[in-house]
Amino acid sequence: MKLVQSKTIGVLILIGLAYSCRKEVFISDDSIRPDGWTTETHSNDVAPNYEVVFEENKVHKIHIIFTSEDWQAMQTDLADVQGGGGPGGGFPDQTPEYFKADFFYDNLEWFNVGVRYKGNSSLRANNGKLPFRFQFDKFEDEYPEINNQRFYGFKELAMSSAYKDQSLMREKTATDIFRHYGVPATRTAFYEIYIDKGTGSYQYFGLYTMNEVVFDSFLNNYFGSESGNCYKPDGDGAKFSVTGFSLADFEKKTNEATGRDDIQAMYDALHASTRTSDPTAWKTGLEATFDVDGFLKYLAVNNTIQNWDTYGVMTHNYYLYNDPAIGKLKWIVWDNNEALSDNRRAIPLAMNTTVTDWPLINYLINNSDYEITYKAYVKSFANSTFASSRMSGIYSTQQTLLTTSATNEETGYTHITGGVGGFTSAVSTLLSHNSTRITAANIYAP
Amino acid sequence: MNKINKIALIVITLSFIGLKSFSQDGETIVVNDFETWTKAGLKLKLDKNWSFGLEQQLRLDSNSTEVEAYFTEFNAQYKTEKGLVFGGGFRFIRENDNEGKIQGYENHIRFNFDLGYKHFIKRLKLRYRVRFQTKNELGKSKDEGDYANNHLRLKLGGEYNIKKWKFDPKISVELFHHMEEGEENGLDKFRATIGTSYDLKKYGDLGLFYRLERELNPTYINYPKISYIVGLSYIYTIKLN
Repeated sequence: MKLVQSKTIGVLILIGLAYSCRKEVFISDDSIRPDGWTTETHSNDVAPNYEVVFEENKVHKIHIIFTSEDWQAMQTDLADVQGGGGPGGGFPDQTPEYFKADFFYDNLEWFNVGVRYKGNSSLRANNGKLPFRFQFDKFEDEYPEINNQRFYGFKELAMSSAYKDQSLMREKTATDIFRHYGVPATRTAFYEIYIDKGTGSYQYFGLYTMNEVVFDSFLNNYFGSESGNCYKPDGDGAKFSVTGFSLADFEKKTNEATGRDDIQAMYDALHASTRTSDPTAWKTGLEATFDVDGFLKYLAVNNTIQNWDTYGVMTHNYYLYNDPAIGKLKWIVWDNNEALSDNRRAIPLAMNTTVTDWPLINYLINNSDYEITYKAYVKSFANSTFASSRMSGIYSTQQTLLTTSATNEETGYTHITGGVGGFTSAVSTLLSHNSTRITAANIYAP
Repeated sequence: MNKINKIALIVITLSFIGLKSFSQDGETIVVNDFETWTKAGLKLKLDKNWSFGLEQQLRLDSNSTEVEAYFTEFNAQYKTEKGLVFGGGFRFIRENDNEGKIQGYENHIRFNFDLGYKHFIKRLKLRYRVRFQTKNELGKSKDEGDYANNHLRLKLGGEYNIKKWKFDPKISVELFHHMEEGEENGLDKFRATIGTSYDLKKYGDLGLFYRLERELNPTYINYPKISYIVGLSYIYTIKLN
């Protein structure tokens, strides 16, 4: 009898232990998706839908709802970031944090989307209309039902606030111009943003330009690959100058775990002693690491449209991508809201005022072969992509498209002074700038 | 093989199989685990009121095959004659992070502050305890998203003194309330324990318990993690008075 009892107790203990054993459960994403989620609009199973998100000749509308707590926390974080940058207030040295919000577009909802402020000088604007960045799956750890959430296939998107641009169209127009002439540049579209700060009513934040994010969708869409190294240079090293060059200033956006040998190789080729002793060998060496022809094309566009807030004046606002198709670094433009204006800091077409601290300009323009190529691009660009007949049509179409958005911008949430009159006047300035720059290009490259 | 043995074999086999990942997107989560906690310590009783403890504990998870954490704890306690208990403790914890991209041992510290009360109803001893504890990872700052992981814990326990029996049963239940910046807060854990201890007289005390821990308000609401824990302890006590 005692033996039977012991056996039974032993078995019960075994069953108890078995019941206690580790068990795992697989939770499929599809089983927990919120209502309104569809494969085409929300999932990671589709390619980015450029036709919807970057539809041209349309002002899209986004509505965003924060809780009052999240909105307040976002403003506190912004104040911390704006306070950074050192004595005198340089560019912020912190990146703003993401806060969750519900996001509405075309009567559909995206859930717990990560929204943060972004930018450098534009982030310090004494204005409510500040640039934003969206990441649609930022909060997937807290909300597993949004795991791999996408906005029509896009994971991240950037919203430029038309800072210092009363025409509202510089960011989009300049980026489109680069792209049209064959310089790698992101897709763009116009969006109105409305935000409920947790009060139950929407504030119109004004008209923004949406940019795709370079290392999210752009690489694959433009180059057909994203396996190459992509860098976002920022800091003294971004000049490629002997003074202050540092690989640490080349932030990796892809292949983070690997080195920066390609940047070092490009730097070494640029500064090779053959530049003066054997220019042909120097060119061969440089062209083996860097898409020089593409860069000369970029310089031709950049200098003609007077886009000053980038290489040559500032140590940021460009990306480099090591395109596996050719095994060379290619130049990608970024942040063009200050282009298309007669700014005194803009580099002259002859690039004769640029000091040696910017060797990618100085060394190239002092090579006669490259100068000839550059001049040819300036001439060709001014008479094709940037031709008055083409640009006047673009400006006119966009003026019609944006007039209502500009008119509705509200005090405290606009960079336009003088209401819609300021907007109209700014568009006229764009037209006259186009004319002036074509004249300048034809004088420089007859 | 008799019928009972067959049933046991089937249950054990099924419990180890678990569910495997499918080809679709999703996440595999642990819903059950069997853990073992072992502890050895030294207790110094200064007088009727004051006592101090130094303990070393090892916790195993994943069916008690992997180290979850090990830690050293120092604690102090003051008991009044009316049954009030004030206490505090400090732990240095080596926690084994074996998930995600960055794995390895992390260093954490934990402080706790206790307020308790105990009284008797005939042969039944009842204990109540409120504990505030704050835990933080060393070497990580708030800028990296590391904020103090705070808990408020409410515990109710009882021990019944059975005549002529050395293994008096002890039971307790405890609720954990989570408080941490940037995280979901509220009740996050429930713990129920049954155990006993054996007085080895001048050689110390041996303890044994079986504990159930259930996650409250889990990320996946229908899949709370439940841990079944067997605990063993040995405490050697030095009495100065």
